[in-house]
Formats: sequence, C-alpha cells, structure tokens
Amino acid sequence: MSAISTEDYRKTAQEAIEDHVLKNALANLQQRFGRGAAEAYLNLPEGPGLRLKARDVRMEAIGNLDAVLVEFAENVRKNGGHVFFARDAGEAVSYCLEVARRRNIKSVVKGKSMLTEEVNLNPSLQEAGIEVTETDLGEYIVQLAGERPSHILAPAIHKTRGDIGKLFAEKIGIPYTDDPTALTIAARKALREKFLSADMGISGCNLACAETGHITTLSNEGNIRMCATMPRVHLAFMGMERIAQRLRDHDMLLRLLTRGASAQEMPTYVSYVGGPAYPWQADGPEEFHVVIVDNGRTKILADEDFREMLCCLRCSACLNMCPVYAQIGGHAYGHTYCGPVGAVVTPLMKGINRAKDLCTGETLCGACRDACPVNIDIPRMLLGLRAKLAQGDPRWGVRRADRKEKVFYSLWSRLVGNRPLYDAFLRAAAAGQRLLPRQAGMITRLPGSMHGWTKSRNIRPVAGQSFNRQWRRTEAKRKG
Amino acid sequence: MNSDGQERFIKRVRQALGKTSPTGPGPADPFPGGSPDEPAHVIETAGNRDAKQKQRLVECLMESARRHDITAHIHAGMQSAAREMAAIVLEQEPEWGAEKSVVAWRHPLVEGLKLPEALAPHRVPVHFCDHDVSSPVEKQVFVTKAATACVGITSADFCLADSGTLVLKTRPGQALSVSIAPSVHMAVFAAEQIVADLKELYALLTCEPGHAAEGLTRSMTFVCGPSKTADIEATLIHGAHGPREVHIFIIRS
Ligand code: SF4
Repeated sequence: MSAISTEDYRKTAQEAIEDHVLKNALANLQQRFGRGAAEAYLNLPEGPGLRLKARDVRMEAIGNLDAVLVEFAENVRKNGGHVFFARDAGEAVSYCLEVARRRNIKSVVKGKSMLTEEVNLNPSLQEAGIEVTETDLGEYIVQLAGERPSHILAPAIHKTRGDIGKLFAEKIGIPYTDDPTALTIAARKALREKFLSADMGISGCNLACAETGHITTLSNEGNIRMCATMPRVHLAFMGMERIAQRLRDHDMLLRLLTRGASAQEMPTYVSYVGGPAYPWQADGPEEFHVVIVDNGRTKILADEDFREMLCCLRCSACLNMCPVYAQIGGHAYGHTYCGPVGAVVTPLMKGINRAKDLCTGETLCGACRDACPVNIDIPRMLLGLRAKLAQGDPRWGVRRADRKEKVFYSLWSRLVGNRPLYDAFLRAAAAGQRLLPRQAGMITRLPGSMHGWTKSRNIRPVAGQSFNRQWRRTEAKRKG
Repeated sequence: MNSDGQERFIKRVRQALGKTSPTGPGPADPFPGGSPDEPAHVIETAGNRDAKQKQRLVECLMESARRHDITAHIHAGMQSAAREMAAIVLEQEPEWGAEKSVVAWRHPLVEGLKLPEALAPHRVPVHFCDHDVSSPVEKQVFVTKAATACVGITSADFCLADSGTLVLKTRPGQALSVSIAPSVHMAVFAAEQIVADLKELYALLTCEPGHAAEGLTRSMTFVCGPSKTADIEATLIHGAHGPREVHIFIIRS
C-alpha cells in the first residue's frame, strides 16, 4: 500500500512505457478529462481568470491558517463533532484506532481518501482486527487485487475489464464476465452488505469551510454518502491545508475543483457534513470526528518557495494533462501522489534526495500549471527542487546529487563564458568528434561519463564552422 | 480539551508562518469594494423575476436535466404528479428482496401526494420517515427500510436551474438515506424553489433570514442526477451505489 518505492522510478517507468494497454487507457483518460477541463474553465461565467482569483483566495487562507483552523474546529465542536489535530501519520492513525477501540468497531467502510493512503491507515486497522473495505469502485478493485491506486480519480485505470472480471470471479465468487455493467452490479451488491453492517465510516475531505464548520465530500458513486450515513461513527481525515475561510470562497473552489477533476459542472453528490446526526434524526452517525493532519505540511508552509503547493486541491487535473504521466502512469511515482503534483509533494514529504527522479523526470512543459484550477506553478517548484539537488540544502537535508556533475557544470560555465576558449573548444570538438560512432548524421555515443547523455537519445554533432566564424568569413568576403 | 493536540499544532503552524501573535490578520474580503455579485443584490434580482423570466428558469432546468440524465416532469397540480409517480413506482422491479416498497420524507409536499392511498390497492407500502425514531434500534429499522426500498421520495430546499442539482438540508422527517439508498429517487418541489445557480443559492443560504438562522444544518446534500461510475475502462454506468434513476417533479401552481 503505502510502501514508498520512489527509488524504483526508472525501472517502474520503463515497464509502464512498454505496457501498451496502460498507455491506451491513459491516452483515453487524458483525451476525455484533460481537454474537457480546459473547455470547462472557458465556460465558467467568470471565465478562466477565476483560477487566478481562486489561487489568491487559497493563498490567503493558507496565510491565515492558524486562525482559520481554530475557527473551523470551534464550529465543528459547537455542532457536537470532535476535532483532533495530528502532528504526523502516527498520531492520526492512533487517534482513529482509539476511537475504534472505544466504540468497539469491528468493521469499517471507507470512501476514497488520498490522505488515508498517505498515513497508511488500512494496515493498522487490519492489524487491530478490524475489517476494512474500500467502497469507491476503483479503490475496491485495487484493494481486492492487493495493489495501489494509480490515479487520484480513477484508481483502477491500469486494469482492463478482463482483469477485473477475473478478479471478481476469484474474490467475490461471481461467474466470469467482462461486462462493465454486470461487474458494477456485482460490486454494488457486495458493498451494499458492507455499508449496512459496518460500524464506522471513514472518509477524506475535499474541502472544508471555517465559517460554517463543515467538511465537504464529493463523489459520483454515492459511496461516501453511504459511509457518512449508515455506520454509527463517521471519521473524516483532512489535510490541514484543505480549508476555505468562508462559504463564498468555498463556492468558487468547489466549482473549479469539479471542473479540473473531471470536467463536470457538478459532481453527482456533494455533502456538507458539520456534525453527528441530530438527536431526532432517523439515520446518520452518532459520532462525528475530524482528524486534521500535518504530516510534513508545516515544513512546506515554512518555506516560501514551496508554500504555494499547499493550495493544491488534489483534483488530478495536472495528471490529466501531463505528457510524462501519460507515458509512465501513476505507479512509477512510487508514493500516494502521482503525476506533477506528486513530483513536487513526494520529494517535499519523503525526502528530496530519495525522490529525486520524480522531479527530474518531468519535462517542465507547463501543461500542469495551465490545467490547475488554482494555477499552481508546478514547473517553478520542480526547478526549485532541482536547484536544491544541484546545490545541496541543509534546511531540507539535501545532499548535492552528484559531485562530478557539479564540477562538470562549473567548468562548462567557465568555458562558455570565455569566447576564445569556447572557440578553441569547438574546434577541438569538431575535430575530435570524427572518432565517435554515428547514425544518420547523429552521434550515438559520447565518450567517458558523458555517455549518460546518449544512453537514450542521439546528439547532433558540432558544426564544422561556428556561426561566428562563418559570419566573419562572409563579412570579410563581402568587404574584400 | 487538552488531548486534542490543538494548541501544539496551531503553535507549529504559526511558527511556520513566521507569526508571533496568536491571531491571524483575520479573514479579509476577497472582493473588496462590493460588486454586483453582492448577496443582497443577487437575492433582489432573484426575487424580482417576472413570469417570463421564471418560465426561462424552468426551461433552463429542463435542459440541464437532460444533460445530467435526470427525468424532469412538470405538473400543474399535486394530483397529476401523484398519478405519474405512482405509475413509475408500479413499473419498477424491486432490486433488494422480493417485496416492492417506498420510503418517503415527512414533508408537506410529499404527504400532499397521498401516495399511500394510491399505492395501497397494489400492495406497495409507503414508509414515512418519522422524526421521533432516534434510538439505535429504531434507526436500524428505518435504515433497513430505506436500503431495501425500491423508490425514495423527498422534496428539496432548492433546485439549481443551471445544473439540475437538488439541495437537501437535514430536518425532522427528512432522513438522509431516502435520497441515497433506494434504487430510484424522486423529488417533488414547487416551481418557486428553483434558483438560477450556485451563486444565488449561496446568497440565499447566507442572507435569507430563515436559512441564515438555520445554517447549513448538520448535513446538507447536493444531488445531481443518478449515481454513476466510470471506474471500469472509463465506461459510464448508472447506479453505482446510489439510485440508478432520478426524477424531479416540478409543481406549478
Ligand atoms: S496541483 Fe493543481 S491540478 Fe494538480 S492536483 Fe493540485 S490542484 Fe489539481
């Protein structure tokens, strides 16, 4: 589940690149959602400029986070809910286990929540003897297969209907079928029983509002509504940054979020949950808990260069546009968050050295920024991370990635800064390159440690004459 | 409340923000100087719609309903609405168990349909949500009824014309499960309850005195069309966990 495998980026990515089924599925997904989101922004009454306003609203809330979170917690408590502030994954998980123990919880139904993946909740619940069932269809499939989600919104995008048919035949004992409708009905039946018998529902939270003290959950399937209605306890995990100051900010963010995520004007279900059921209510949970989680977020908050990342609504719009994600899928990113958002968040949370391939793997094309409903400048932060890798940074505990590279680049910068020296280098290179292997006019292998550059691409040879030299010659001819 | 970690947590956040004072600058107005979007202005515009504009709102809702796979029915009175509803109930195959049943909100508009009488000859029981059931056992009984029902009938506080979204607050007699657990969801409301869009809705929720005093309630739900999923090879399928059909009945008086 949440084992981190960022170190295997190259290997997993390579495997994914060769997986044509996966690539087709990803292309299909990007075609639908990526383009759709861009169109949906254009169709907003306020126009796509609303993204910029939303970003200001997010930055403002994050700048006031200390006050905003207190206001939120007070409002939830006023309505009879409980709020717990967890400094890290361990505290968040223990609080949840404590509630489960106190209320004698035997089974849990879960709505999709990236944060519970991040804090690795499921194994701890299972160790405590509690049955945990993921109820989002995609998550359910992934859970049955013992895998990890590969997309924020479409967790089972890497699986074909045939895979799912076999999985259901084996795990829930239905006759094999690869008909999506039949498979969905089978899951509906199996999960309905779980909803009705579960003692606790666990959800994430897409947004929260301090002014009213509500969390907001979004779903198209209705599973999160079931999780928040049927069991006797509802516990929601919330990233500390996922909050709007007031209801009208919340409105703007909600509209952008659904457009970015899936190009929808409105998801099927939006629930504003602000407390346990009223005493007179015929259904709904007796207890409502919100666990607000830091888990490395204050560290990001403290660094002005990366604070912007906390504006993220985890909508997955950037995944749906990213050319790198389209090739390698979600698993290569090696942790909960994948795609461009993962390429920034994972290094910041799990160590920049450890996850260095993630931020060097992206292309800096800027598609993610344009897709983002709150206009987060991911390319800027990717460059920031790369600079830390090049220079080292004690504050983030970053070791310089490669000493040789550093030496090479400082020599290179001296070389290109000195014209006569550079000219001499070009002449030498033009002469020396004759010894290198070529194919269709391109050099296929550079010597020594520069070989890395030509491992996966060819390089153009240095021209026989530099532009400067040619210019001087033509000028001389013209005048002479 | 010392064990909730709040104090320590907020202290860390404040440190990260480089602040020393215990309070932030306080929420500033993101739209300073006021704008035509001010809630009061929005409510006024909504309140002054003439017959033609109201008609346009209904047409807009019908169009949105089509886009979102919602079946919309317009009726001039409760009786004809009730007849059509009863006919739809009778058409359904029960999904959970052999018996066909209906669960419904205790709400003047829903009760006004007099469905129990209409369905009694066909032996389809209508279970109303009574708001004095609150012991865990009674709750269990009601939830089971909702989860085995074929059709759930609610009203709505509002319906958004631009997306066909129903807005449901929680009140006595208005259980949450009626709009999520049954196989089919039907909502009946008056044409006056149609609002243009989210902006109008939020303006009403925050500035209309009744709603402002009530707040969002412990649970406020938006429902936009049938439950759906596209998790298997991106094939769209209705009825993932919630209702596979949603009908709205607009009553014009
Ligand atoms: S970075 Fe932007 S586009 Fe990507 S998930 Fe976050 S909010 Fe969405």
